[in-house]
Amino acid sequence: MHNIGTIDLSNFFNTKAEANDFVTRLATISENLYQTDFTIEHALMEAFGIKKKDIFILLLREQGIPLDATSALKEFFCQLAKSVATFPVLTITVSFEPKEQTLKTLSTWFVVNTKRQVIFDIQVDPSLLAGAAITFNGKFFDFSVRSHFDQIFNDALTTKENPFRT
Amino acid sequence: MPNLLFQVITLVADLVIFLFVGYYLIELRTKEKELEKKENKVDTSYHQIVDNALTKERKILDDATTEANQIITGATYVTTSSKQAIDQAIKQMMADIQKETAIATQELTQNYQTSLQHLATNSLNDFQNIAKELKEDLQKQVKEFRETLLPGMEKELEAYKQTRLAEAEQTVIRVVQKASQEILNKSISFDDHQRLMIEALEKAQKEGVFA
Repeated sequence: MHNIGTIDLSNFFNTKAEANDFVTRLATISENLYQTDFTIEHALMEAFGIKKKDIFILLLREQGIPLDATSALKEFFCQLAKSVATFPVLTITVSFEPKEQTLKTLSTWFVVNTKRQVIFDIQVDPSLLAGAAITFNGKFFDFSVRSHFDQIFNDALTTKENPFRT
Repeated sequence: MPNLLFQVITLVADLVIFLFVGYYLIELRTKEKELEKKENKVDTSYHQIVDNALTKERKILDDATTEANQIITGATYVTTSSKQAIDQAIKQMMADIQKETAIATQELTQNYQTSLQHLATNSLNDFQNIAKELKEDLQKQVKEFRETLLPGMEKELEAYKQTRLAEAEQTVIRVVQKASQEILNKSISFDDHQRLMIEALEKAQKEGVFA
């Protein structure tokens, strides 16, 4: 049994769509495991490209899985797919369309600071101005600049300096 | 001998012819005379008839002329008389009308002045009464307005004022937010955006969101 929960898969996916795509590609590889001309390197390269293939090979070695052990590979892929399905989804609303680098940074921050990976559900709302609003485990938290603006305005409007209330 | 007989017969025959021609001429002369007599008679009758007709014509013309003169004379007299009578009647009528008009005008003026005086007196009294009633009604309405409607209106006015103020505030907030959004989106760099996102995650972690 492998310790799947601590594996950092942020190199492979950060969003829900990417996670689904990852699981689909993993299933395809798993189906082809018993083909006579199957090699894991070739399959991984076709599924994820050279760079990610190398990361995945490194991951397999870290987990102690021989590259030619078909049954172990199949079991690992199966556990990995199940693990991905259990990743918590964090809905994060930002004021701009994040780039891959930003998603990677956010994902890394999560792995480093919370010791676990989450799947981002990215929402874009320019009215946030900057920062982010987070929905996690059914709770909403607004850490955007807009909330600061609203707070500043509300404070200003309720004080004596409010030009409308004079 | 036969020549004698022939001569005798010829002579007799000539005699007979002469007698016949003579007789014929005589008869012709007789008829001519009769015709002349008849012509003379007819001529005489014609002239007599024409003379009689002319005489009658002259008499008729004379009678007609006489009668026409009489009629013209009579008509002239009647016209003159009628004109004089009509002129006189018109003058009389004018005089009567002027007189009656003057009387009627005087009566009407008097009546009008009297009525006007009455009307002015009555109107003044009515106006004073109406003005007094209006003044009282107005004072009553003002009093009621101050006691009943005014406080409600002041409350409604204050509520309206507050609503409008809130709308104005919201409008200002939206405008400032929009302006800030435009300005910040252009002025904040990608790194700053990313840093602010990480700060948001850190704040969330401090508040125990990910616990």
